[in-house]
Amino acid sequence: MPEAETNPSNSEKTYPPVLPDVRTWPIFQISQDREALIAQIVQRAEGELVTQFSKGIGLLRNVAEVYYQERARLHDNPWKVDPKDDPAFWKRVRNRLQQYAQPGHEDPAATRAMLRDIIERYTREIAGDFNPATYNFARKFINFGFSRLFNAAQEGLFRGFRKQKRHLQEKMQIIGEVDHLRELTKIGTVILVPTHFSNLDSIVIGWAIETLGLPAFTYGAGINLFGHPVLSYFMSRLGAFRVDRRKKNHVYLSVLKIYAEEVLQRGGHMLFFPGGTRSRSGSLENRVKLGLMGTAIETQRRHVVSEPNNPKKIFVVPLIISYHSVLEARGLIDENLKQEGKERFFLLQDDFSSLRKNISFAWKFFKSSSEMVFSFGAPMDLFGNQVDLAGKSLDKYGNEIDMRHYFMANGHENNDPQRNQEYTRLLGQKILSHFHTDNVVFSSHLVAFAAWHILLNQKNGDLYGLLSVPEEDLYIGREEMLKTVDRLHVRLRELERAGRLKMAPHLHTDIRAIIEHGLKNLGVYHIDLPLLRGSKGEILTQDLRLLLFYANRLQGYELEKYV
Amino acid sequence: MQPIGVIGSGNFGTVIANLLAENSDVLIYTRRPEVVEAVRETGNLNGQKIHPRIQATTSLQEIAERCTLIFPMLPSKYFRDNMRQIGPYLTPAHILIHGTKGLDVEISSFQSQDEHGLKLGMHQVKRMSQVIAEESSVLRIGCISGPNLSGEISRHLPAGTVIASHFDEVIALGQAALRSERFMVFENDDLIGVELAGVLKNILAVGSGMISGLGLGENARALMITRGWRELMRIAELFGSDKSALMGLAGIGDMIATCSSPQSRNYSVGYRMAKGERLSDIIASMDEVAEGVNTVRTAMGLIRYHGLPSPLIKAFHLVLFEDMPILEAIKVLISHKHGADVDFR
Repeated sequence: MPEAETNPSNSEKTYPPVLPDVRTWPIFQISQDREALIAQIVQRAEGELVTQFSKGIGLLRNVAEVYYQERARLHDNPWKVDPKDDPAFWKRVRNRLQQYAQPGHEDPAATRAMLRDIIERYTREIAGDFNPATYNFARKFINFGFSRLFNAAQEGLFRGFRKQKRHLQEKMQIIGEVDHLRELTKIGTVILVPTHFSNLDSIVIGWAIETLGLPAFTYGAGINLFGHPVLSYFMSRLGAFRVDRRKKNHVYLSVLKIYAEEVLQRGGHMLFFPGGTRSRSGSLENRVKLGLMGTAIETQRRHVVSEPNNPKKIFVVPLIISYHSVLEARGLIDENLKQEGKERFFLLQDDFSSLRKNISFAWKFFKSSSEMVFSFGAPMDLFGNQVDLAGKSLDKYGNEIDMRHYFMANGHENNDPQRNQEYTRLLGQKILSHFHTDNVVFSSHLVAFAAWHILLNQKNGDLYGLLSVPEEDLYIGREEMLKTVDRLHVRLRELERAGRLKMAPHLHTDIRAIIEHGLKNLGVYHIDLPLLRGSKGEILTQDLRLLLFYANRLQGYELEKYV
Repeated sequence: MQPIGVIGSGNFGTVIANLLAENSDVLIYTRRPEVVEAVRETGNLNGQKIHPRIQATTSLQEIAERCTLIFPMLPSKYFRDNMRQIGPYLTPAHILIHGTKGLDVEISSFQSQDEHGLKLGMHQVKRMSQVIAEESSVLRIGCISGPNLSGEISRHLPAGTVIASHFDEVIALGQAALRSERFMVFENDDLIGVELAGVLKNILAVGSGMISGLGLGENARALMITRGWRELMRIAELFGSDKSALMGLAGIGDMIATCSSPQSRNYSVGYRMAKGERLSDIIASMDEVAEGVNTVRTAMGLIRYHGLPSPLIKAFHLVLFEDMPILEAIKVLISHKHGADVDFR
C-alpha cells in the first residue's frame, strides 16, 4: 500500500488557488493593519517586560544590559544591513541611562519610555509587510523563472512553456495529503514545519506553496538576506519578517516571540524550520529548537479561552524535502565535525552571501538531472492528534477531542506555563517522528549509507580513523556493495511496510539499477564526488566527508546493523 | 469531590488505594465481579483491610468518567490491553500516574520468536508511559516507583517513594494525593530514568535470590549487584535517560530493598531456582507476576540488537531460559576477561 501512496505523485494535478483573491488572505489583512499590529505588540511587550523587570535587578539595569549587548554587537559584528542611525540611537540610550543612573535623577517613567522606544524599534525592524502586487509578480516570476532555468539548464532554451511546466513538476514532485492541507488553510491557521538542509529550501518551498494554490506563509528570514536590494524588496513585501541572530538580548527575543504570537493569533499561516538552522550533519533533524513553537501552544490556549465552545485552531503540517544533492554539504559537514571533535567553533562561510552565488547555485542545481520530492505529512493539531477535513481533532478511536481538556486541571481551566512548555517539547518530538516516517528515501541516500558504513566497518567503526585515511586508499568491491545495498533494501522495504518511512518510486526496481541510479545522482555538482565507479567496477570516493554527510540522511532508522 | 481512580486490584494496587483513601474517595477497578462483592461485604482485599472510602467497580468506563486522576497499577503483561479498553473514554483532561515496573514488548510477525536469537530494537520496547500515550489522548503522565514492598506498607511501616513526570502539575497532584504520615513522596522530573530504574533493578533481585539460594555469600552478592548495575546503566542510556535517577530512591533505593528481601517476588524466583525448582513451576505457583523474569528476556533482546557488553544479564538469560545450571553460568562468567572497575563518570 505505501508503494501506491508514493508512486502516483500529485505532479499531474494542478491546483486552483484556495482563496483566489489575495486580499482575503490573512497575511494581507494583517499587513493592512500593520500599524495596529505594531501598537499592540509594543503595548504587550512593554507590559510584560516591565512586570518581569520589576523583580530582581530592576528596570534600569535590565535596559542597561540590553544596551551593553547592543554596543558589543555594533562594535564586534557590524553588518551592511544595519540601519545607519543604529549607533546614534544606542548613543542616545547610553546618555539617558547615564542620566537616570545618577543619584537623585532616577526617573522610572522616563526609563519605561526608553524601554518602549527600544521595543518599538525592534518591532518595526522585525515586522514584515505584504504587498499583493509584488506577490503576484513574484509568483509568476518564480514559476516562469524556475521552468526557464530548469529547461535551459537541461536541454536548451527552446521549449514550449506548457511543456516546461510539466517537466518541472516531474522533477519536483509533491506527495502527501495536500488536499487536506488546502482545506485546513481555509478553516484555521497552518504552521508548516519543513526539514532544512539547504538555503535553497525557502525558495523551493515558496514554489511548492504557490503550486498548491495555498495562500502565502509568513516566515522569519535572516536579516542578512535583506542586505541585497532586490532580495530585500521581494522578501519584505512577501510577508517575511526579519530575524537578527546576533541580537540575543531578552527584550529582542520577547518582541520576536510576541510578534509571532500576534501574527498567529490573527490567523497568519507560518513557515517555521524546527531545526532552527540547516542540518550540519546531513541527518534529519534529531532535535528541535522550540522557541517560536511555544507561542503556538499559548495562542491555542488563548483561542480556547476566548471561544471555549468553538475555538479557532492551529494545525501543524510537516514537510520533508528530499534532495540528491546539497550544495553547501561540504561546509556543513566540516562544521559538524569540528563541533563533534570539540574543536574551536568558527562561523560557517555562508554560500549565499550574494545574489550571483544564489543564481549560480540554482543553475547548477537545475542543470544536474536531480529530482526533488516534497513530502507533506498528515496534518495534525498542536498535540499530535490527527485532524479530519473539518479540522476536528480525533483520538485513535475516532472520538473528537475537545481542545479545552488540554488546559484543565481538576476540572477547571488554568494557565500553567510549565505545562505549555512540556506540550511544546512533546510537539517537537511528534514533528521529529513525522520527519522520519514521511521521509522519502532516494537511491543516493541508500548508496551513500551503504558505502560509508562499509568503509567505517573496514576501520572497525573508528570515525576519525577513517577520516584520516587518504581517499585514494579506499575502495569497495562490486560484490560487497551489491550485497550490502541488497540487505539494506530488504530492510527499507520492511520499514516502508511498517509505515516507518517512504521510498521513492525509483527504489522499486532491481539492486543493480538502484546502485547505478544512486551513483549517477549522489551529490553530482560537487567538484570531488562522494562516490564514483572505478575502472574495474569497484566503488571509490573522492571526498569522504561529503559521503558522510549524505550517508547521515538515513540515520535514526537503526539500519547500521544491516551493513 | 471526584474520587481518585486505581486500575488493578493486586497487592500494590490495594496498598496505593489505601494510601490515597487517607486523603480522598477512591474508585478501584477490578476485572473480577467477586472482588467488588468482597470489598463491599467484608471490607477486605488481598488480605488487607480496605479503607471505607474505597469503592470497587468492574467498569473501566466508570473509572474514566468519574475520575480525572487515575493510578494504573497493573502487571506490564496486561497493561496495554487495559489501556486499549479504557482509551476511548480517556481525554486530555485526564492525568495518569502508573506504578508498573515492567516494559511492553512488541515482537513483529516476521521476527524469530526463538529465545536464543531474539533481537529487540528500541521501537519494539516501550515504557508504560509510552503505552499510555500510544493508547489514549492523555499527555499528562507520571509514574511512582521506589522501595515499596506491599507487605510492609500495608502493615503501616514507614516508607518513601518517587513520583516522576515531565509535568510539574502531575508531580504536585500526585504528591498531594499520596501525602501521608507514614509515606514520603519525593519528586523527579526524569520520568524515563525513574521508570527504568524500577524496571531494571528487578533483574538484580532475581540474581540476588539465586545467590542466597546457593549460599554464595555476601561478597558474591555485592559483586553481582555492582557489576550488574553498570550493565543496567547501559540499558537506561539506550532509552535516553541521564542515569541520575538510577542513583535515587527508585534506583539504588529499590534495589537495596528487593535484593535483600525474601518478600520480593523477583528475589524468590531466583531463590527457588537455586533450590532446584523449574522456572515454569515457580511461575505457575505464584499468584502475581515476577516482572524481573520478563525484564531479563527483554533486556537480552536489547543487548543482542545493540551489541552491548552485558555478561551478567547474558548469564541470567542462560539460567532462566536456556536451562543452564546456575553454577555453570557462574563459571562462564568468571572465565570472562575483567576490565576496569569504574569506566563511567
